[in-house]
Amino acid sequence: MDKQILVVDDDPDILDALQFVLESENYYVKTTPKGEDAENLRTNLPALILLDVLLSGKDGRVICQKLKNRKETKHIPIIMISAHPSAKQSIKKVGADDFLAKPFHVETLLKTIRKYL
Amino acid sequence: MKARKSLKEQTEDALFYFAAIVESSEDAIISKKLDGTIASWNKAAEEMYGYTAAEAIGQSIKMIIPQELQPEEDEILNKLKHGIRIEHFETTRLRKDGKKLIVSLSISPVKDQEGNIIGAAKIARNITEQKKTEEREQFLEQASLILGKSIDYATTLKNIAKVIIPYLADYCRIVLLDDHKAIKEIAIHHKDISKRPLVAELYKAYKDRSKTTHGLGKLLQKGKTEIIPEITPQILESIKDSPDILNLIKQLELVSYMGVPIKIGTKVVGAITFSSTQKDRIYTNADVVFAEKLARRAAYAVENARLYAQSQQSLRLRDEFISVASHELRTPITSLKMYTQGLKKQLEKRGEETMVFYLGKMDNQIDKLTVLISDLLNVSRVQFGKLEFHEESFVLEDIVQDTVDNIRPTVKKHRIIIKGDGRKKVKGDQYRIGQVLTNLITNAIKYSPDSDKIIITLLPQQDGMLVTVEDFGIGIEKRHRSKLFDRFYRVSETSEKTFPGLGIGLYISQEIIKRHGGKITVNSEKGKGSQFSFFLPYSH
Repeated sequence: MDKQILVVDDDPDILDALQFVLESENYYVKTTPKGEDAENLRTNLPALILLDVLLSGKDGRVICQKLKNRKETKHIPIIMISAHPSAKQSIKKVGADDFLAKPFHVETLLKTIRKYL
Repeated sequence: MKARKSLKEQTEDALFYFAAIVESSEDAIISKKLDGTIASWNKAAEEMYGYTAAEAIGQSIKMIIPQELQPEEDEILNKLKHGIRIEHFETTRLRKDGKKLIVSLSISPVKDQEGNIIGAAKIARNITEQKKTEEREQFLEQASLILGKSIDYATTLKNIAKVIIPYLADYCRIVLLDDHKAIKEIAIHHKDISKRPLVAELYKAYKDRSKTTHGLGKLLQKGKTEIIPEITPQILESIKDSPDILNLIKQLELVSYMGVPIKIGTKVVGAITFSSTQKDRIYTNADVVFAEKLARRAAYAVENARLYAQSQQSLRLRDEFISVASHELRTPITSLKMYTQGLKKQLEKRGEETMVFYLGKMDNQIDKLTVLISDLLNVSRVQFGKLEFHEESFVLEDIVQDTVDNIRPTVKKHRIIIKGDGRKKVKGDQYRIGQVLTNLITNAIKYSPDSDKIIITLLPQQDGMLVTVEDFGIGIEKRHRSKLFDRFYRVSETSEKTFPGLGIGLYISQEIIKRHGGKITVNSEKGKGSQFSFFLPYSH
């Protein structure tokens, strides 16, 4: 069975590219530019979430913290991504499992995902 | 043939000449008896002190000595009696009209024919103006120092107001015009703080009076210096239609006034007004000249501050632009990189070797672009001191390993060997140290195209860890070494293959290490290789 990955990023180009890469690796990919879609996850939970740090209008770290504080979602591994490499320091506090700085190597991305799936 | 003059005649002649010299001297020449009674008083003394010879002779010398300096005179008389020499000195004397003078005095004893001291001759030179000029020069120097101290001209002009009071005025006002010609109040000052509200009220009362003959409105409008040496009853009479102003001026006891514009070229940018409440401070042309000098210096300060703010603003805009641009560039590069690598992986599976080879080249080019963009962003941040630092303690070995892991996929033939013991925790910003390591390692690879290894050594020392990145490449000539860390510096040798780059990697790295309290050092031998080292303190 293909594992489902939810990708949250406000840039549609990044979503497209990530979808292409992850689908090539046989993951089942759902993408959304809206932070709310991740924040309100209740059913059909993904196996892993790739979450941008700075979403338009929403802070990805706040979403991460909420998901990690909820019983139903706290087991889902969250990898945060950002074009600001220095964001790495702020994501541990919100319970994120890992961090990738954009632009990243596809191999690094896949390796990181495999660590959790 | 004329008969030779008798000795008596000669003596009389000499006395006549002496008297003429004394009378025509510009210095006051006075003689006094040992009890302090004035015995002679020349013309210059009359002018200087305001007493005629008839008024002065027979009186005590103490009449021209201010009360607080009377003991000084007693001491002088005492010294004279004992034949002690009195060195030339400066002191204050009092005129008949109550004004004070600064004089330079020489006192010598007068002896009778037997050699007994019977009195003293005093030569006094009025150095009040000279002193004032000296003081003004000092004042201007002090003002210039204050003005040059900061580019925050509002604060510096406020400080100027503080030195104007009480030296040059009893109350003063400094205003500047903003870009829309609106008056910006910079300082209102009175030597008596309790009267400051009165001054403010006075200026407020003047605000709507465009008809006034003097004052700020006129100053700013005409850009010409103005002076009212004495506020006469007639002047007060002429403003009786404005009882509020009249009342305030009376309460403030205004005696004399002058105002100077602050001009840059011909443009009026502000003004300073000086008001005196002291009877013996009547503004003169010399004061006006001086006030204008001060205003000119204030103008320089304002102009410098404006130019500085302007240049800072354009630098800030450029910085913001670079910051936004490099962030915007990162996004398409991220997706470009993912497509390229995703494609490469797919083609690998299908065994399309040629395509995979060229996609690999594409990927390398994208990496170069990525480095250039982040350098661009960093250099503007470093320059503005905006590089953020998050100090924490971390295991150096981990960050070295992470960095090497990140670089490895892009390295073709070089082996990166980590040596030594880096388990002890150090203090610093993990991410920035990673940046430095990345820079040093990629440089090492770039400048050793014919070698196949890079050695990173972690050497524990007493207070911290020494990190060395060593390559076996082309090396760096001595003359380039000191400039290596300058911004935009690149080693260029016509005889050599050139290496691409913006020349800012080492500059940024050096700045980062400096922020950690250290320094990057370099050891190198041309043709043998280079070693770059930096030190990080342990966290305790």
